[in-house]
Amino acid sequence: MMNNNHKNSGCGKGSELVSYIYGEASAAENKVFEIHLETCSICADELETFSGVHFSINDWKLKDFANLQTPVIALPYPTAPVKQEVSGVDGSWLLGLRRLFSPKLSLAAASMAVLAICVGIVLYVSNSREADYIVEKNKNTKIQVSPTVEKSTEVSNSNSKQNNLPDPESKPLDKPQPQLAVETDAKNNRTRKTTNTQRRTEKVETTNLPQTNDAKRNDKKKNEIPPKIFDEEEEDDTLRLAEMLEEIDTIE
Amino acid sequence: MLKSLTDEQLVELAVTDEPEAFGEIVCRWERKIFALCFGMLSREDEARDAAQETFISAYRNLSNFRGEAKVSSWLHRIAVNQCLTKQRRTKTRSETFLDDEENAEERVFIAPLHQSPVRQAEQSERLSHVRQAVHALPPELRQVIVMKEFEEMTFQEISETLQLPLSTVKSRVYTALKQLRMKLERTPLEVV
Repeated sequence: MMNNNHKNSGCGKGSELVSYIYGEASAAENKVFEIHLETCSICADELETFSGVHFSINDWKLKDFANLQTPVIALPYPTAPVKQEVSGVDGSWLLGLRRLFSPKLSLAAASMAVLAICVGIVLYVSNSREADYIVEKNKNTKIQVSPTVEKSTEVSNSNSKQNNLPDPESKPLDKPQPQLAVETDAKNNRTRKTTNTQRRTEKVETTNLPQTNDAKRNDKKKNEIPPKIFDEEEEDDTLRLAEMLEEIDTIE
Repeated sequence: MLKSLTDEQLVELAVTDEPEAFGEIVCRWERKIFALCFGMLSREDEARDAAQETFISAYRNLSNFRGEAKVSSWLHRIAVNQCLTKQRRTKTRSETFLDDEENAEERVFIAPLHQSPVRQAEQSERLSHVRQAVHALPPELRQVIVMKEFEEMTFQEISETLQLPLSTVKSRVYTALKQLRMKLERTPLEVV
C-alpha cells in the first residue's frame, strides 16, 4: 500500500502545504504557514512547483474537459422511461387512450355492462311470464261457439253425407278454434268480429241452398266455399291475436 | 420529492418500489463520475463508456448495496474499477500516446487565433505532458488527484468518499503533486 514517508519528507509540512495550495486551510493556519514559508526554502520551492502542477492540471481540465457534454446515461429500467412519453406531443392521444382503457376503468365498464345485461334478462323474463299469464287467463274466460258456425258445419256435413263424396275442405271447418269467438264485453272490435263471422256463415248457407237442384254444382260450390271461409278464418286468427295484444296493453 | 431525499434513501426507494429513483442519483453524480473517468483515462470516448458502465453496473447491483458506505463512495469505487479495467484492456500504452499526439495536433487547429502558432504548439505539448504524467501515476494517487482537480472535491469529501483518514488523503495529494513535478521537470511549466 501507500507509504506515508513522503509526509515527513522535506520539512514535514506536506499536509499544511497542500491545504494552503488548494485554499482549504483556515485563516489562522494560513498565517502560521506563511510565517513558516519565510524561513523554509524547501517549502517555498515546493509551493512554487506544486502550484505550477496544480494550474497545469487545471488548464488541461479547462481545455479538454470543461466543454465536454455529460454523456446521457441510459439505464436498463424494467419499463420504458415515462418522462419521454409525457413530454412527447405525438404520444398524447396514445396516452389518452391508455388512460381511457386503464384497468380500473375497464373493470368498472365491464361490471356495468354485466349489471345492465342482468337487469335486461330479468325484465324480459318477467314480461314474458306476464304475457303467458294473460293468455292463459284469456283462454280460461268464457269461450262460446257461434250458433251460425255450428249451423254451417252441420249443413256442410249433411251435404257431404248426401253426396257420399269426400270433402277435403270441410276439415278446417271442423276445427273449432278458428270459429271460436272470445267474448269480451267492452271491445268494439269484438262485436265487429262476431258480425263478420255471422256474415260468413250466411254466405255459406246461401251457397248451400241450390244444392237440391244439381248435386254436382252443389259439390263444386261447396268445394269452392270452404277455402274462402278458411282464408277469412286465418284473418280472424290474426285479428284475434291483435285483440289479445291490445288487451295485454290495456292490462299493463 | 426525490430531490429532497438523500442518496441512501433514493437507493432504498429504487430497490423497493421505484427503480426510476436511481435516475435522480444519476443526475446528481453523472458529471463528477464522468470527470473522474476522464481524469483517470485521459480520453473522452473511454471516459464516456466508463461512466455509462459505472451507472449501469451500480443499477444492476442495487440489491447488493448494504448501506454501510456512502452511495458516492460506492459509485467512485465502481468507476475507478471500470477505469482500471478499461486501462488494462487497452493494447499498449504507446498506442494511447500516439493517439494523444494526434489529438494534440487537432487541438492546435481549434486553438484561439490570437495565440501565435509557436505558443499554441508549446501549450499543446505541455498539456500532452501533463496528461501523460497524470496517466502514469499509480491508481491510488491518480484517483485522489483527479478527485481534487477534476471533481473539485474538498479533502474532507474525498476522505468520506474513499473512507480514508483526512491526513492520508492530504499525504496522497502531496505525493501525487511531487511525482507530477518530477515527471514534468523536463518541460517548462507556465501558468496560463
